[in-house]
Amino acid sequence: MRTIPALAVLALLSGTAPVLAQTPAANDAEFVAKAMTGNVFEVEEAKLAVQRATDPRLKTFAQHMITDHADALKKLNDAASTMNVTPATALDKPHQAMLDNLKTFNGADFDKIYKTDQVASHAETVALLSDYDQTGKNSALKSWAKQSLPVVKGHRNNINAM
Amino acid sequence: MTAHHTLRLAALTGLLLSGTALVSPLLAQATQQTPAQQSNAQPTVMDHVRATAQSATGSPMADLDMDMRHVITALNGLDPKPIPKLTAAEARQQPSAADAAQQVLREQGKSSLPDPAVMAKNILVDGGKGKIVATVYTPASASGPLPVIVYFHGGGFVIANNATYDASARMLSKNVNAIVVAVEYSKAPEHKFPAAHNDAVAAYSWVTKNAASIGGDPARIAVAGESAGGNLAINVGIAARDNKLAAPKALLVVYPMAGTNLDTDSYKANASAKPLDKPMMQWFYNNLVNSQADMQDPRLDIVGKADLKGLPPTTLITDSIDPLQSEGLALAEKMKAAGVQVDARNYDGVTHEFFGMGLIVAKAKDAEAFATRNLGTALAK
Repeated sequence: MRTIPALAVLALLSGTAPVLAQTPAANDAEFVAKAMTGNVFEVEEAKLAVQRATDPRLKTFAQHMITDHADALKKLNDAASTMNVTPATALDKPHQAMLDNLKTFNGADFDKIYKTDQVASHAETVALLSDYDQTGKNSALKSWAKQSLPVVKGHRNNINAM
Repeated sequence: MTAHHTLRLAALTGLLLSGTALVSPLLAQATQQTPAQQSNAQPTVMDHVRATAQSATGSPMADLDMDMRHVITALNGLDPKPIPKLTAAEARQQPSAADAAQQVLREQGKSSLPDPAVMAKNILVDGGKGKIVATVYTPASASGPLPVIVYFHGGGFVIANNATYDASARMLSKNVNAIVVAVEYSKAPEHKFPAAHNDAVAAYSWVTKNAASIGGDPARIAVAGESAGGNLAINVGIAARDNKLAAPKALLVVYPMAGTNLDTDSYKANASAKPLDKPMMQWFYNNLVNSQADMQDPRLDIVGKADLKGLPPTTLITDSIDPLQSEGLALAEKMKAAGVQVDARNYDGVTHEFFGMGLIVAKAKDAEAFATRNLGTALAK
């Protein structure tokens, strides 16, 4: 692997490496914060869905969300316990806006919005966990991401198929 | 000395030290290089091996730009099953080109999360039969009524959803500084032709009447789409003309499904291209249509049968490694002949689905800037 720094230097010298504006992958603290926010968001929408969804498949999905995420959140807290991270108590602005939006719907309309919210949310969670699984530094968090990925992908496949 | 030479030197050193077969250290080096790859434009050793093999066999994939090649390699790595052998439900679970693009970002140590500069929320709009979902993308820094882009995602009218095409919608919202309304139209085979077309027109009509409710300016609306969505964008333009709806200020049509002849030059040249090949197109149409008569409908056979007179100024993007290239080029010619103002660009060396990959594919970035400039101009106050 000694050739890698040489490659990087060569790329810089030759000007062949375009500077891309994309954000670097989340660092440890950002990852924990984003993962906790995502967890809280999916649980909060699920609590609404347990009450309001009319499609029994969505109700079942929501119940799974509540159970699985309680477990995931506990394990994430354990993994992050050495990191001096305060668990998220409030959602960030984009997630709060999505949750507030969902609250305005009832009946079959609620089902459509809840489903689409969860499709997007699970795509985002898979991206977040995959990023950390492949680029993360903290081994406890990495193993949490690796363990959680198949569960989240299972949820994603379930909701995509509805 | 180029990076490539350095690699070969390293591989040769590996060979001399280990005394194993040549291909083993070459492969190891190619695999190891990826995580530290600084630019998506740099070739890996495997790229050279593949390019040589594909060139020798006459594959259309031999002409791939290096950055696009990395996306296709990543897609192969995600191991998608060939869609024509699957049910629609199974096909919708397969990894997509967008998943591959995310994987390339990851390999470069970059975030694959949605761009936080754009907020998204799901609402209900009119569909052909009852309400359907649309995702409203708004620049996080938005103030005042913004222009609106009604956007239709791709997927052959059968697979994919707004989440699959999230990168394109966010990019357009951010770069044009516009509200993007991505319409989650009905999919076949559950909803056969023309369900998606009816949804698209009803959703557009809804936006013309309700733009203000989502922070949009009803006097500045454009319509955009990719692939199947490109077909819908053209058809919304036609329906707006015929049904006396407010006309869109502009159309953005990206590698559209614009004809039902599956034997064009580009179908022949790219019958086995990735990520879109001819068997997939046949499978999409088989799922979409009720009977062969639908293949003659002007909404599907646009280049053969549609009347394109009086359509709004249109930006048309095609690419060379794509079964749909010929019909896209034919659409541009037919629109020009009908007196429509058309600004068409073809991109060589890239494939279907390249649009929206501007963070990792240079020509996608170029195509996105082209689309942004034209939509921005058409939607300016």
